[in-house]
Formats: sequence, structure tokens, C-alpha cells
Amino acid sequence: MLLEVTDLDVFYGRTHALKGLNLHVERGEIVAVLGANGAGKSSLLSAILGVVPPRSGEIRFDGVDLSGRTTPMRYHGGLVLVPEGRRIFTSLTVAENLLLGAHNRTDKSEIPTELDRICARFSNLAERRDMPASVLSGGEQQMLAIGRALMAGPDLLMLDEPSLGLSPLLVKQVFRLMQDLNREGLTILLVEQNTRLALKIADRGYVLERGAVATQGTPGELLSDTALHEAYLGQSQNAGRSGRGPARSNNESRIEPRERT
Amino acid sequence: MKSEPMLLAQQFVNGLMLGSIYALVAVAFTLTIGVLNFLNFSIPGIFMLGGMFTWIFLKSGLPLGLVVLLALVIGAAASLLVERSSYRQMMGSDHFIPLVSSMGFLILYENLVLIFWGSDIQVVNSPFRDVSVTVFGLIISIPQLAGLALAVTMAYVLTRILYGTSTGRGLRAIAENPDSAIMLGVHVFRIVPVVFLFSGLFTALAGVIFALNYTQVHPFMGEEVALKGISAMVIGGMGSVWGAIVGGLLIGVAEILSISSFGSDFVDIAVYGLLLVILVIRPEGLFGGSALGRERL
Ligand SMILES: Nc1ncnc2c1ncn2[C@@H]1O[C@H](COP(=O)(O)OP(=O)(O)O)[C@@H](O)[C@H]1O
Ligand SMILES: [Mg+2]
Repeated sequence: MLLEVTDLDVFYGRTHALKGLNLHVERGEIVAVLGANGAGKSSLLSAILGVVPPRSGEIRFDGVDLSGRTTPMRYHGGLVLVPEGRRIFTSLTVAENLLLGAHNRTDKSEIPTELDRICARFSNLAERRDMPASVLSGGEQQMLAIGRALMAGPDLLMLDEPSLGLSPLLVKQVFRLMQDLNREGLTILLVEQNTRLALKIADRGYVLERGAVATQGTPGELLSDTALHEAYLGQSQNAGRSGRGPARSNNESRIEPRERT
Repeated sequence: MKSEPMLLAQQFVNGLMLGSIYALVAVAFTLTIGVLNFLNFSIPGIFMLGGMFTWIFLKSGLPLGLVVLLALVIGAAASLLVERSSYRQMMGSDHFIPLVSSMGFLILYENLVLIFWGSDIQVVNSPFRDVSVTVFGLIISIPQLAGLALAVTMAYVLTRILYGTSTGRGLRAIAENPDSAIMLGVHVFRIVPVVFLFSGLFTALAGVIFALNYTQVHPFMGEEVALKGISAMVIGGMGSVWGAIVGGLLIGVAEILSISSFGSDFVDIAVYGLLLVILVIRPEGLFGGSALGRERL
């Protein structure tokens, strides 16, 4: 087991954000974490990275208990986040944003090679390498955020709502990219409100409700769950999301469902 | 007797030299504001420690090189102490709390020196008292020249670090958005002390040069210089290293020229008038656009 979260409790003052949460990720998997706004998805990722300290519970990565490890140490160990809202540094250049991702690497000599590899993968970024990141469009910024995370050399890539605010075409690109990365061997923990699409590429999914796991299972199991259907699949297509035209289902259908082995 | 243009040129040079002291202090302020959004009120105290320890060590007969080195080490240590016991403890709290507690350090440093060495103005036995070089008929004192050269060199080194190293990138990331930096695993607790180290070194060096050149030190010598340093930072644009240098030199020149033209009563009017005029024309300061951090203060 690559990641194992056991009985995790997180508080913000008196807000009980995660309530005895259990979750695990196997090596090579794509695991989706679904749930409405405020369910605790981002808090889970923050706790895994040590950005918020859990009140109780255990987080093990590659068999090692992470308590007492700082966020930089966890990044160095291979836990890497693509944060919600991308969090690009617009006063840094595109290349500097990428290099910032490699901040915690100890194999400094590998960094230029890695940078070239990322630039080869994202040609849009390579063209604007030395421009301030503020010139990038929303989609390019999302690619930059993913590229920055890849620069860290992740063992587990965690993405927090990577489709947020992107056009359907770009959403499709981002999901394709995640599929490609996974085929190359990267393990992915994907937080999404775009339930349908997330379940299309995931091996397993968890549905969070008010800080706890409400249901979990394979995409097939989750999709046949009628309660879930009503709660998330029914509304989430329209609720709180803008810029989604009728083209949406079209684009989604081009993402291949995951092959089971 | 010098001719009128030569006199003016000499005043201008003197202004640049005085300005290099303000420039060093302004860089120290702009670093902590630009990166950490923190107006570090302990800076006048660190300036004073640089000056006072120059006097103390020179009096005890140490060689000049060692005196400067020790004074810088003390200044850097005093600055790191502020980071450890004030800034780091209060990082999550409201902005004014580290500000107030850094002011506490100013009072602490001033009063510690007062207790041990008294409040009298002390005369520094500077080895440069009667030494100067003459270039094209202009008299240039050696510590002043060294001060100007060091201010520019250190600003250059600093910008190289900011724009050419992993630590510098981390620093600028923290300056833009500390929460994002923390979330992305930037080593905040390793990088923030670097800011205080540089800020302490710049400030203490200014104090050392002041002591060697103007040969007078006392426990409260930092306060007026710090006000000019803050003005220089604002003129240059908060967060801009080169802006701080230019602002410091401008204030130095304005101060000396106003003294020689109108007398010392007009210094404050000239200096703060300059500040006002520049702020009216360019509220973000001369180099405000290229500032380290954005939307500061
Ligand atoms: N920094 C914070 N301070 C206080 N409360 C927070 C903070 N971050 C999140 N919360 C609260 O914790 C709960 C879970 O939030 P979050 O993890 O952001 O959910 P999600 O990512 O699923 O939308 C919400 O009730 C939210 O208001
Ligand atoms: Mg969230």
C-alpha cells in the first residue's frame, strides 16, 4: 500500500473538518475523492502533506508513519500536490515556477534534465519559458501547476480539482494527461467535483460527506449507487459550475474508460 | 578656496556617501517588507549595535578588520534573534503583532547598551579620521567610499541570490504568497532566516560605516537614520532592492545639498518634501513596478 490514512481527525478551531477518515491508495492506482463543497477533500490533502496537523489518526506513506515530518520532508519523500486554484506564482517566470517544484530534490544534477523533459511534454510552456507566468491562460496555468508538481519527482501525485474553471476541451486535456501519467507508472489521488469524468479514469473512488467517507468502491459500484446519483451526478453537472455547454458530454465521451486488469 | 561648481560637486559626493548609509538601511527594510510583509522595527537597534560595537572594539585595540567582522556578526546575530523569538512565534498572527514585538527588541537593544555603556555620545577613534583620497579635486573619505562600494556590491549579490538561486526563488515565492509557498513545500523555516541574516548584515554594516566616518555613536543613533531609511525605501518602491539604493542616495544628496544651501534647519523639509513630491507623482515609488512582493502594506 502506497498511502494509508487511518481514523484521521482534522479540526480548524471548532470546525470538525475530517471525522475518523479512512482511505488507502495502492501503487499504480488512480483513486478519486469525490464530494460536495466543504466535504473535506482539500483538508484531506492538506493533512496528508502536513500543512494542517491532524488531531488524531495515522498517515502512512510507503509504510512509514508521517507524523513529525514537515511538509518539505513529505515533498522530498515523493508526496506532491497540484493545489486547488493552481497557485501559480505570477511574479516568477514559467521556468522559475517549474524549478520551484524541484525545490526539495536532493539530486540537483537531475533537475535540468527533468526541466527539459517537462518542456518537451508541455510545448506551450516551453515557448513561454522565460516569460512571467502571468501571461499564461487558465489552461496553461493548470499545465504549469502539473508540470511544477512533476518537477518534484512524485511517487504519489495529488490533484485538487484540476478541472475547476477550465473549458470542456481543456478539462479533457487535463484528464488525458492524468491517464498518460498513470500509464507511465505514476500513482494518482484525484480530488474532483466532476464526478462522472473522475470515475471514468479512476480505479476506485471515495465519496466524502461532511468529513467522513459516505461510500466507496469501483466506478461501476459508485455509478450504480442511486443515492450517489441523486446527490452528485444529478446536480453536479450544473450546480456551481459555469462555462459548461452541451458540448460537455461529447468531450467526456472521448476520454477512454479505464481498462480493468 | 574652491570654486562654486567644485563646491557643489563636493556636496553632491558627500550626499552620495551619506546616502549609501541610508541605502543599506533601506535595503534591510525593503527585504523584510517585500518578502515577509513585516516592518522590522528592530533595524534601528541593529544599526546602533553595529556603530556602538565598532567604537567598543576599536577602543579595546582590536585591528580594524576584526572590529568590522565582529560588529557584523553581532548585528546578524541580533537580527536572527528577532526572527527566532519574535517573527517565527507570531507568524500566524495579525501583522501588527510581530511589528510591535520587533519594536520591543529595539527598546531592549537600546537599553542594554545604555546600561552597559551609558547614554553619552562617544567619539570613535576611527583610523580613517584624517585619511582621504582626492579625485579630480574632490575629497572622498575612505569609509564612505567603501560604504558606497559595499552598498552596491551587496545589492548586486542580493539580486543574484534572489533571481539566480533556489533559495531566491523560494524567497520570491514566499513574498508573493506565503500560504501557497507553504502548501507547495517551500522550506519557509530555512528561507526566512536568510532574510533576517541579510537584513541584519546590511543594517550593521551601515552602522559600522557611520561610526567610522562620522565618529560619533550613542544608544539612540539608529532612530533618525531608520526614518531616512524607511523614506528611502518608500521613494524607491517597497520591495525593490535597487529602488532602496537609489532612494537612499537621493535622500543623502537632498540632505547635504539642503544643509549647504539653506542651513541645517531645512534638512527635514527637504528630505520629507522630496518623499512627498515623489509619492504624489509616483505613489508606488520609483521602482514600485518591479517590486519583490506585490500589494505590500
Ligand atoms: N483554513 C480553514 N479554516 C477554517 N475552516 C476551514 C479551513 N479550511 C477549510 N475549512 C472548513 O473545513 C471544511 C472542509 O473544507 P475543505 O476541506 O476545503 O472542503 P472541500 O475541499 O471538500 O471543499 C469546511 O467546512 C470548511 O469551511
Ligand atoms: Mg477543496
